Amino acid sequence: MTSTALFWRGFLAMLPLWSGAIPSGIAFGVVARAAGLSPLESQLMSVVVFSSAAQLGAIALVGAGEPLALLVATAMALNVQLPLLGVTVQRLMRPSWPMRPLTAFFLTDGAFGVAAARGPMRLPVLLGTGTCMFLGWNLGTALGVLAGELVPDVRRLGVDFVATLAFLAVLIPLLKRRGGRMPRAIPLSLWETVRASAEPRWTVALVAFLTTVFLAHWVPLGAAVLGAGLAGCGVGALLDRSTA
Amino acid sequence: VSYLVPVLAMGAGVYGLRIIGFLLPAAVVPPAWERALAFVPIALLSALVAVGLAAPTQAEPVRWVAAAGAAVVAWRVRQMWACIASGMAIYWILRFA
Repeated sequence: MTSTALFWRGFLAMLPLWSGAIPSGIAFGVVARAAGLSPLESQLMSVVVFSSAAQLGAIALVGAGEPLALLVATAMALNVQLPLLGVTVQRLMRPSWPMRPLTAFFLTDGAFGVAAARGPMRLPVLLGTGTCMFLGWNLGTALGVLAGELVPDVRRLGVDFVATLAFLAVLIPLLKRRGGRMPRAIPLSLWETVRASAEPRWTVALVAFLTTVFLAHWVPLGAAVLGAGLAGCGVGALLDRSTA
Repeated sequence: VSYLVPVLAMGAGVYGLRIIGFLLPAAVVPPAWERALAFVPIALLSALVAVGLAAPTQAEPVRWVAAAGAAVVAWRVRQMWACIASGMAIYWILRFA
């Protein structure tokens, strides 16, 4: 197969995932406008950042006037899986030096997953799935920005809550995966909860949630999120070692 | 307020994460780090949900109710729009009705 044919094979394989990319792009577009970004800035963010988690996470903080360094740190923290993904792609497909910056630009978990499911990994297939996701995400963003224009005073309607719900929609399936168990309802102490729950994921979520609620009143929101992320991961790593 | 600089800075930061694996393919992550990294999505998403519910500027009791309802929907229906639509519906009903 030619490179072009492989590219289109990847592109078409990814197209059904627009059913997820377009609605979340719309959600981002609406929330970005409500947070005060101009239509151009909202769209530009989807072009240059191209990460729903990073963008929605940053928007949740932008409205609160967070410092720039915290926004960037949060956006990056929500994408810590990308270096590992890049290493994997580089080892599997060995793109040439000129192709690496381009491959990296379109790299997402979803695009890699779909490309990997399509038989032997070929670079043009991955570029096809990546490009397809990029177009869907940006199309959704444009629709969301337009929707924000049609409804006057979206801020008053509390549409920033859409971002919270979008995080919840991603979080719940992660908690639900097999083996997911609730920690005891009435814990004796935090450490008891930690010990009693054989499933670290719920504990990590609870620790991160409570840490944020507590810290949000004392430090900038971005710092609270990063602090909660560190606390959650630390607890998770400890529990994982003790149950392994 | 212009958000051009934050947008470009975030783009640069995330692109840095995308490209670094291609530039250092032989890098090895210590196992302890890898274990901790596996929990990053859950920890950060939980933190961001908490921001939407508890941040001083955004705290409203009805949001907790709406988020709880949306969580039940998300547990049963995988599609993101179902969680967002149900949560916003509960939120608007409680707030404006």
